[in-house]
Amino acid sequence: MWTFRAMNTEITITAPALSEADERQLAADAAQLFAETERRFSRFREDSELSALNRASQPIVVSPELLELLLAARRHAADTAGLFDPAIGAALVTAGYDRSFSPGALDRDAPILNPPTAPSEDLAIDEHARRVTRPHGLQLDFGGFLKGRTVDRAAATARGAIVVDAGGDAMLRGSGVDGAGWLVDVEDPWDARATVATLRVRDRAVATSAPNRRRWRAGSEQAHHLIDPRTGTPSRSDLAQVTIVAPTAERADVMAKAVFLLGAADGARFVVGRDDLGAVLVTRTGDTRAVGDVELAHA
Amino acid sequence: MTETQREWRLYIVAAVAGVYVLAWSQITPTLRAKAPAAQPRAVWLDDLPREQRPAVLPPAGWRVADRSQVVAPVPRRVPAPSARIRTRSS
Repeated sequence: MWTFRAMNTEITITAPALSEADERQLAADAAQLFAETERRFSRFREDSELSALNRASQPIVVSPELLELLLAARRHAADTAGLFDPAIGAALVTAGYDRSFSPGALDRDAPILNPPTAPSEDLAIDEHARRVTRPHGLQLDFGGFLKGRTVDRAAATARGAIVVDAGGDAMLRGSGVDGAGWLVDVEDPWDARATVATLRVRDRAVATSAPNRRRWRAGSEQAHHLIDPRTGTPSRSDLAQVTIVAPTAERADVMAKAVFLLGAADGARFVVGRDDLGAVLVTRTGDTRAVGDVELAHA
Repeated sequence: MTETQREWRLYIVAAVAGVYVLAWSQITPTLRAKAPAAQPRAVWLDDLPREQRPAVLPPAGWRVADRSQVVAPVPRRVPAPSARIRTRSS
């Protein structure tokens, strides 16, 4: 197992069938992939291509990779009726998330005023010419969607069993150490040392969304990074945490956010209505419920 | 020219126009399909092969960055790997 830090997260790579040298090379390739992706598509880097798009006052031609990201994001937005929307960048900045997160760094006395709600469908994309026109004020943030997508790409570079884990967004290929599936502990959102459930996962991905880590003070209220695109403000969901099991880490991350914003009742229905999803929902009152295609491990 | 001749001439003109429209409606989709796709009108420098990149002279104090210059973190080995992972918000 190898580890490195990227996208403000600890990334671990495990490929038990590989020799130590091959596993090291795999981890080095993954580190390069994460670094390049962050360099090009982070909204916190002035010199990233995403920042160039977020500053553009006229139509600009984007790279094939950015076009692919924008189109994938658009598909996810359609699939979640706009609950996933990368156009929350301006709302995140308005809420105070205007630099890379660290505990306490974003605390401020000003409350959240006039949150923007421009949807990414306002972004005009000419696929053939790769030309993108950004409406004034619209800011994109790829967030966990980009992290999940990079996890999938890193896992796709290896054959056989592999786990790529980016701070809880993970792709788990193969059947684990004992052949019965990889064990995945779902963290208790109120106690980082405790576990609310343990899952068995084979050839699938997991991702978890919760407001318990990336949160800060905005005036007299607590703000967090899970922005509801419908209001432009941090969600007031009745859920404390959502863990999704899905075919890819990209989809798991997108769906974890969408289900969190929907809340416990609608979120459970959303998961059950999609054959490829399973979920562990933890409500703010402390109830834990597994729904959809998810296998609980019994101790 | 008699009335009957004028009417016949109108019929003939209308028939020729109809054949002309029908012929074009058959030919136009073929022509459209054969039209070459427009080429992208812009490209990123590092999408081009190195030998095809134009010389770029940035202003003083600036440099042209290359994707290969991204410094990747060096992975370190975890001596006692865990057989399970932990999912959480990050």
